[in-house]
Amino acid sequence: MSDPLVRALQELLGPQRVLATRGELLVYECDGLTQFKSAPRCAVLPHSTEDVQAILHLLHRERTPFVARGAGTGLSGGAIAQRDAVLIELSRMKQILEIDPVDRIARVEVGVVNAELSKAVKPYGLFYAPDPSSQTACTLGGNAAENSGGPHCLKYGNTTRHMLALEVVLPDGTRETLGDPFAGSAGYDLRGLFIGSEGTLGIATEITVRLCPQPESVVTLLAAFETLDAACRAVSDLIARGVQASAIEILDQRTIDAVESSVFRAGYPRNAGAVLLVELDGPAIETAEDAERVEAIARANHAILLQRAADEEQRMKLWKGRKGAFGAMGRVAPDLYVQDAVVPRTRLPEVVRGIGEICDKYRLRLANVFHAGEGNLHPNIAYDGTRAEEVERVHEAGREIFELCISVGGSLSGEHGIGLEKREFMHLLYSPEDLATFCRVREAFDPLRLANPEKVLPVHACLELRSALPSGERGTR
Amino acid sequence: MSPANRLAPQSAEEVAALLRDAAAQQLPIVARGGGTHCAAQPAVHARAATLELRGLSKVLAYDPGDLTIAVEAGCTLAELEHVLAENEHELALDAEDPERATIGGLLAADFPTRAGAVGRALRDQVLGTRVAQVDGTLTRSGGRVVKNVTGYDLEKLFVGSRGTLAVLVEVALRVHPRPPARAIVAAACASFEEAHALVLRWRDPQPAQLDALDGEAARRALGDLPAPLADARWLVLASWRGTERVVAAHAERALSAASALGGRAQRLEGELAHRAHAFDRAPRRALGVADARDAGEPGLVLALAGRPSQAPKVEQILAHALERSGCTTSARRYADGAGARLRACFATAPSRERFAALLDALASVPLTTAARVHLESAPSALHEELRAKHFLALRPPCGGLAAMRRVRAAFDPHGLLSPGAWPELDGAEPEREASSPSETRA
Repeated sequence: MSDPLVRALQELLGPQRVLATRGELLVYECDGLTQFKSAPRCAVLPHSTEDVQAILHLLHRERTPFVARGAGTGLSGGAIAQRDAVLIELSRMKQILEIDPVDRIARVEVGVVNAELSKAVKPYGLFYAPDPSSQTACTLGGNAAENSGGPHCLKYGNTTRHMLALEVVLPDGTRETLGDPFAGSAGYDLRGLFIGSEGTLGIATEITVRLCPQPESVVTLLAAFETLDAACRAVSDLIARGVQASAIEILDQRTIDAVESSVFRAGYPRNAGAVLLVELDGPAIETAEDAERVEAIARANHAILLQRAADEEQRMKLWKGRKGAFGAMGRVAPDLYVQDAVVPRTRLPEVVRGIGEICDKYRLRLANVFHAGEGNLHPNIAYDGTRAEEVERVHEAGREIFELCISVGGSLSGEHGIGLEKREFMHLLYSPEDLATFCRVREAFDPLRLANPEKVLPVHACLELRSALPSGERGTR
Repeated sequence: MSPANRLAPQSAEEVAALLRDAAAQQLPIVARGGGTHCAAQPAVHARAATLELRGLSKVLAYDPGDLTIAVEAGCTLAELEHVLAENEHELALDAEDPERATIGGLLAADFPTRAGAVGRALRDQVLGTRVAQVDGTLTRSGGRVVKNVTGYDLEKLFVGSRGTLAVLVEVALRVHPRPPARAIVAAACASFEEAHALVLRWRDPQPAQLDALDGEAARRALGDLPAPLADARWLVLASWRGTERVVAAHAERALSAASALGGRAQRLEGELAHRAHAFDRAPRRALGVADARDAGEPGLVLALAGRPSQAPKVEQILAHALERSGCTTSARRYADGAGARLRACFATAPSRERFAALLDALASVPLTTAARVHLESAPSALHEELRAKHFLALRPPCGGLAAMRRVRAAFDPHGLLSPGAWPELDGAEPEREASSPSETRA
């Protein structure tokens, strides 16, 4: 191996834990967003916080950029190695270090898979709330980086509400504990800043999470509507009338079709224009009352079918269709472009209609499956990535969808993050001064800009900041 | 402080312009809301100007159907509650003095709230912010939608930053439907351990309030207690909110749980329920720990925060420190939610000597028992002891100090904003001298 950096990393970790051949690196070329591809300089497999510290010390000394990666399920290109970065694969750090059922916390290494934690704490009557669709594969470290959501975040909140403390290694190799599960705040909430920073401030290695008591009862309802518009209006009504559901999801006709033709078949009515999945959890007396309210609102919005899951098996089946929707859509076309914009819940019907019109204009095939209760849209555009002209149309439509969402007071991303994919759209939402502030915060952690370079912030935003600084205050790039 | 140093901007743009001017003269600036935060504030630079933000009191956008509201930071909690009441909505924010407490002040101070104590932390209520930075730039982060991961979560940084990073001028918040009914249940316990066991039992389903008071505090807050509760050494209070049917069912279940543990419990009705609710809304006032409005001087409240399972141990630590220092509390309060908080409340503050001894006793406690001491309220006479003993200093095991300093410098390189709020985070230490406490409350 001729690369001296690879040799140095091998000396540090042993040759088995440094991957540097083309074949070994192929799998790391992209994450869940397949439009962007870039191979890392090499990949390293730390087993401990100390390993991560040693790696970052070395990379800092060598001024070499790095990118942390969990399971590689992210949908915004956050785990793709830019600028010949070293990829730090954290999935080997998968110990659950502590479960405390009285204090309702768990301390885990970052490579623990999201669903594995809930499985481990189930015997104590507890669960870990954030449930991204990729939860059987994605790691808690990746969830921390993206501030991941999931259907049940409507009631329980995104990842940031559930991660109470982080053990992190900063880009210069120093180790810090951010936050404290119970002791209350002291100084700035760097924990809150770090979560959702997409690996650009450092690498988390251990996490203390909050565990929630399993609800006494769960009621899952399906309401089918003739049109997507009617389903969206029902959601606006549910929110406005204060129904406290744990999840409110919509699947449109094309998604229903894809799901029902796949292994994720859930028994959704194929003749419906859209189905609404509503889940309620909590004490039985509460869920029973709320279920009646949900059904009344669905009827008032002309639901053509109302169904309550009779048992756990039926409930799991209804969710299997929702959680497998992205996989099922793989049948529709070779490539999928999934957006993640958020709009006020009062604007859902008009925005969903508008997105349909944009896709019609660009002759693109659109399917919608989304966290309607939070106004978090996931328009899925099916296309063929080998046809440049079609890819161009996808990009144009994508930009118009963002512009539409922002024009009604929305935002670019609800849970997937900005990564590579959306950074050039950041200026639609933020002024140059806003972006310069983000850059300054980033540089407070990483003046050399080694951590996950070229993510989140548009490149020009920070270059402008740099040129505005007196030369003595500029970092080395 | 001369009147010239009290600035009263009426808009975000005026705040920005005043900051720009102050920065040009290297003048320190302290932003001030309603002045209701009673914990000890540090001495500030004698030349510091105060930025009074009460003039920024507009509601910018209230979307009842989306359950969000955007307001200027000088809006008081009472003003906002009035607007939201039209739609039977509320915020998960509270203050002892809602007529004076401003939204910006509450967020900057990150004072423990009762909503926070049941898992609705203040910082999770903020959807977006607009701030004026020290150089007069106005910037935004977050937005007005309920789910958002676009860019860094600077809102988390600003909440609890005590005005040291930037001046909050606008805030977007979550709004919640106000449940129609409430049931309050109380149980008499013979010891703290018994009360603690019941608190753990009453955590599910999640109550809106979960508190334990020592006997004296209970009588002070609630008045004469009915026979089954009268001789309580500790009284545990919990309330649930929802529809009438739901809260009645929760109360029934709580009573059964208490009797299974051998406690005497009952649902509070009428005047007693009213007083328990008043205690929940303004605990310091109900416990006779005078706040700024009542007496011009706050009482003393110290809190030890830690793991719920460790609460009995933390209670022993506190009892031991009180005994060693000869300090007598007027109320002891234990609340559980996002963690356990043991509070020692003093209607009459102890002498400076005894207070100094109490601080020494607490300082020698190995805080690795996962407890941290917080000062929630202190009369100005005791501020000197607090400063002299660096009692409120940020120091290890508080993590990330070096990074906090760099973050501070990234926003405020010359340390002009609220200097001394955390002396450890100020850059070049400006010359400081003590000023009177009424001027130093933020």
